[in-house]
Amino acid sequence: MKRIVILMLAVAMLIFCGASVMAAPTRAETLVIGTTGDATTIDPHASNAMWSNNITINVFDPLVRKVFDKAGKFTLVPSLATKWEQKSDTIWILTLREGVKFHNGDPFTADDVVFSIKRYKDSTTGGAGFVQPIASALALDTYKVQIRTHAPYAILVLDMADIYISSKKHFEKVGEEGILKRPVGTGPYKFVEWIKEDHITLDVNEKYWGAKPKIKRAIMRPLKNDATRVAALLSGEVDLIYNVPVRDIDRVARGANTEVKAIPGPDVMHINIDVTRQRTPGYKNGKNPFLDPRVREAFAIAIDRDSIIRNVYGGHAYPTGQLPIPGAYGYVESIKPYPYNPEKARQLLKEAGYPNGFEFVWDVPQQRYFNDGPCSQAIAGFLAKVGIKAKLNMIPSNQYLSYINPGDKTTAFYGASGTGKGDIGYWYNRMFYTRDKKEGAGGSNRTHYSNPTVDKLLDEADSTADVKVRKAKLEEVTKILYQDYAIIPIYQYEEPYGLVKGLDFTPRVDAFIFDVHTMQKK
Amino acid sequence: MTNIREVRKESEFLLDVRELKTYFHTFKGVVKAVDGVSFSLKRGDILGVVGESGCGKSVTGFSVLRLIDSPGRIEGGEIIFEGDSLLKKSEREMEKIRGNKISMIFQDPMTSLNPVYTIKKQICETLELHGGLRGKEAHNRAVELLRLVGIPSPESRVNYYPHQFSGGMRQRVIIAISLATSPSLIIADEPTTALDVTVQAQLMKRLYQLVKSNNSSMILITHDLSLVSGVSDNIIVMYCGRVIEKGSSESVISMPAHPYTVGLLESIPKMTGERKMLHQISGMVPNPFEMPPGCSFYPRCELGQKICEAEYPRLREIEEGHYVSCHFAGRRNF
Amino acid sequence: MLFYVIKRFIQMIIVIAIVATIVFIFVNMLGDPAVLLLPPEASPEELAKARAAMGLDSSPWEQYKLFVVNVIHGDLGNSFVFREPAMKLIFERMPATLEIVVLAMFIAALIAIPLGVYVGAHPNTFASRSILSLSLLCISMPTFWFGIVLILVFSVQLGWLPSSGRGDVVIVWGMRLSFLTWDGIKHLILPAITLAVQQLATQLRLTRAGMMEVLRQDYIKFAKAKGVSPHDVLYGHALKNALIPVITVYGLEFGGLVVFATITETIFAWPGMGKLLIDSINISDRPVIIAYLMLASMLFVVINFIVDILYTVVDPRIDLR
Ligand SMILES: Nc1ncnc2c1ncn2[C@@H]1O[C@H](COP(=O)(O)OP(=O)(O)OP(=O)(O)O)[C@@H](O)[C@H]1O
Ligand SMILES: [Mg+2]
Repeated sequence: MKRIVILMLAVAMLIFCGASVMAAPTRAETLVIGTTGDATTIDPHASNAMWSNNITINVFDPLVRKVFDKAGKFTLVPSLATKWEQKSDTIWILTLREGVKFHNGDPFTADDVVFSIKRYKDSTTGGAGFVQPIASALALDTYKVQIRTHAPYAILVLDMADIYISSKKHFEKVGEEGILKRPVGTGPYKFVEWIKEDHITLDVNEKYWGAKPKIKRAIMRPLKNDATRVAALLSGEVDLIYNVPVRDIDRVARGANTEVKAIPGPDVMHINIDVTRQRTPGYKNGKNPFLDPRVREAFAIAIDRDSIIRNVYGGHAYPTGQLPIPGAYGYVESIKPYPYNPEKARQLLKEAGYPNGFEFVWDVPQQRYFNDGPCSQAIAGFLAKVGIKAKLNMIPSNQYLSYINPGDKTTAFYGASGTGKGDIGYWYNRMFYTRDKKEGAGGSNRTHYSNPTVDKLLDEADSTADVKVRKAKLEEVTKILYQDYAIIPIYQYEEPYGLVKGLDFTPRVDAFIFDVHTMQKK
Repeated sequence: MTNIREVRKESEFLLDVRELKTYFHTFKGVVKAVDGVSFSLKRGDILGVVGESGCGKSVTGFSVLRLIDSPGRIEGGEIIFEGDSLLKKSEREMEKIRGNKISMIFQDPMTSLNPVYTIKKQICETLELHGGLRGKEAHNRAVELLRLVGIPSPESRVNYYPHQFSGGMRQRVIIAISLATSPSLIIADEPTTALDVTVQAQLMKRLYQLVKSNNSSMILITHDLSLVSGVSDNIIVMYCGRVIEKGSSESVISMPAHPYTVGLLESIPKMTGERKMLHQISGMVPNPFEMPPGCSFYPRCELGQKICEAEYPRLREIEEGHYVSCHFAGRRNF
Repeated sequence: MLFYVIKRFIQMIIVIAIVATIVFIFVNMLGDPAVLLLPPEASPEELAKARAAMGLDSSPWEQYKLFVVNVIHGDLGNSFVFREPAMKLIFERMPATLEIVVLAMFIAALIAIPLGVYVGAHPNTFASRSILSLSLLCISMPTFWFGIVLILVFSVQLGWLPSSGRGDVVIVWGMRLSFLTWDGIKHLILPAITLAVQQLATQLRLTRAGMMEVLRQDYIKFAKAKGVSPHDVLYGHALKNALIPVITVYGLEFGGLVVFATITETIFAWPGMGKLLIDSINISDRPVIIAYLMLASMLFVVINFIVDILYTVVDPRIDLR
């Protein structure tokens, strides 16, 4: 007995010797956000993963900041760059903000911009895409940077909104590993700690150069499970959550202390079909039936989008007929979703020589997109009603892209594309530019779409420095794709946020989710 | 009070069992494992209980200790031990008697000891419970007991686990445990059946000596008539849950009256005398669920008559202290 | 004994080598990590660069050889996602998992063993039958559903306990521990109960089966014949025997919970190891998957070893050769 007591005392001593208690933050000054996943890194240049971006936007400043209004439209306001001038088709001069300091006290200079762009370029884990159009960056003096693009590039300023600047000096001091431990930016919040899968804590940067943030501390908590995330909001443990599941939207909206803010998100779900190749891997009985425009039209109008949105998504989605979302460059106001008309679809099929319809293989992912299973089944159901038998080829989410990307196995696939950046050009280049014709284009053209007019329009859009011209060209492409039925858009996602009443919060429609310094608690 | 005193005075016996009935209420029906058994035992005496397998010998023994598990139940009768009725005692009071005043040796030494405890622990448990011995005292007594039952180098072996002993050794340990508190009654349920023939005699001899020197009484249960004949003062013969013959060892062995007893005796191989085919009792024990209304031995009996089928033969005294339950015993010679 | 330990150690090495090889082959069939890690619009050049950086540009056989050499040098590789050593990631998460698992096993044993003894000793009472039916319910109840119900009742409706996360922690030797603060303990309760429930039912039924078997044995009747009280017969003589087969299951269940408590961890946003495995599988983070499963197999070998040792303590008939 005595021995046990001594042992217990010893253990207690050891525990308290090595112990240090973490101080709890005051709840009222803190904004706790429930996310759907943890950051994969806190290095701003290393990834384009959503929940890493969410840290980046708070700890770092971009060259230009996007500010969203209640309708989801954005305006660009100067951030670390105060002025940007176009010197020639491919050369831009940026004037930088003076007197800005990094969290560690280092002054912000042109060197940091050059350094950051270079780090993006060197990333092998997803950061390189942010600066893809940029060929080089050069510091002209302490507050002037010259940027050269590969080709005339009208929307560099949009890209600048996604370029975040970290401290070159700090990096030189601590190296790759140090940066992963403590990122140092100029942003409105300072990094405090990251406990993986538990939380990331950010504290207000009292010396922020811009408007003083109202929220003193922000905690991001990965709450992957939908029900848990909602419960945490309802019980008041978190103040704001991303992605309220459809089945809980009413509950959160009716909650005594909670409300829902929903806006159309950047992602559009669509079906791409092979309208180009004579023979196509998913059709076994000879000539590719989708070569006939009547078949494609039948396909497009056989799907009742409203019914799918009602039944599969509880009304929380928006039918659409194009890939770009409203407000993005390339969006055409006049294009409406393909109208639902099964009789006409049957008629068209008969005219095209398929009175009894036909069968093809449709590649769909398993649980890659929200409710993708029920949705693809519903679509297949509508197609079957007019005689088109879609054989669902379900592919596990983590193998999906590897399966469809080479383009030798797929005739039609189900996918999602986002125009969070505010311009559809990049996506059009990847998905619809003829394969293997131009470096860097057509890489995601999984259905081998090839249309010289589209190629030409995209070339023109990418070789003008004039935003208006670019917009016009992209809109032209949108119209052609609509007429070609090369892509059959189904709906635009809704992004429902749940929040406590009295929180001033405006959702962003891009890849950077929560810009805490624009928020305010009652 | 007067009543009890009367009973005490009346009883010259250590144990007096009257009309004991122990039934098992199984799904298939009632098994009358013990059905009206009476016998008594004087202080210091040894009583042999013999009978075929399944005739209720063990159940009788367990009934005395009131260790009948469900679905079994003691349905009736009386068990008077040292003048007190055991059936009227509380469970608590029984715990004080078990292992203390009455102890039991089980049929199978291989399974009677708890495999996860040392011998010492299992002996000391009894010593602690009933003798109040603890620590060193208990240890010494345990070693002494082991020596008494003939276990060589008991000082070290006392720390052994059961699996480190042979069957014979284990049975010695069990005997040591049952003798630990110098009980007035030991129920030995076929103490040697599971052992080698060579060990059997040795062990039986040791047990006999210890019981006698302890001045205890013993109920020696066995199906081996030759074993009891040498040691017991009285014998009861059981068949299908009933006593069919009882008396002093001498008279039962030399003048068996029931045809079943006769059969049992004839089935014993005699060490002396000429070789002769061993007698076997033909036929089968009746189904316990469908006992015949008359004599339960009737289906196998060579003497059976109409009356045997219809009427159960009551125990009759055929000579002083020698009882038999047979319509024809003593009336005919066979 | 020493010989035995050496034998088990060699066994462990072999098991781990086999597991590592199988897992290596298996992860090669998972999706392409580069495609999963980079954004969907990534260009082929970017993908190629990423593959080279992850060491995926050589043939699988070359990769395997490199892997073996590195493992021999104690290097299990860096996570593709976190760019940190895979083992470090796992060990970072381990204390959290151990905390709920140990607590769950403890709660389960504390309730299951006495109940199991009771039910085994009195199989026909009304209480026993109710307990048994209830345990069946516990076994068939999906963890997922049960966890959510607990959250809805105790966090949302009653507001007594937090729904998720670890709460305040104390750092002891670099490990973050919840059970040393009141807030942390409140956070521990629901996940531990969720984990415990099925454990409880399994342990209860095992204990009951063991008891029923043991209570039929002669030594139990012999103990009664010695005058041992019913309580001591059950807890002194029967339980120790009944628990012998339970120990193995207990050990394996413990290992299973440590490595695969994924569902509970996900529901309660508990930053444990199980979640790491699932996330890593989802994005083909090969080094983490391989390190994880190697660690898991090692854990099971070690648990088996401990179980064997415990056996000799509980059951003297067993001798380690
Ligand atoms: N738990 C039980 N349930 C049902 N029947 C039982 C039970 N225990 C004993 N019996 C029945 O009681 C009868 C007597 O059994 P008992 O064990 O007393 O026989 P025995 O004379 O000791 O035989 P053996 O020489 O084989 O030990 C048997 O017919 C047996 O079937
Ligand atoms: Mg018997």
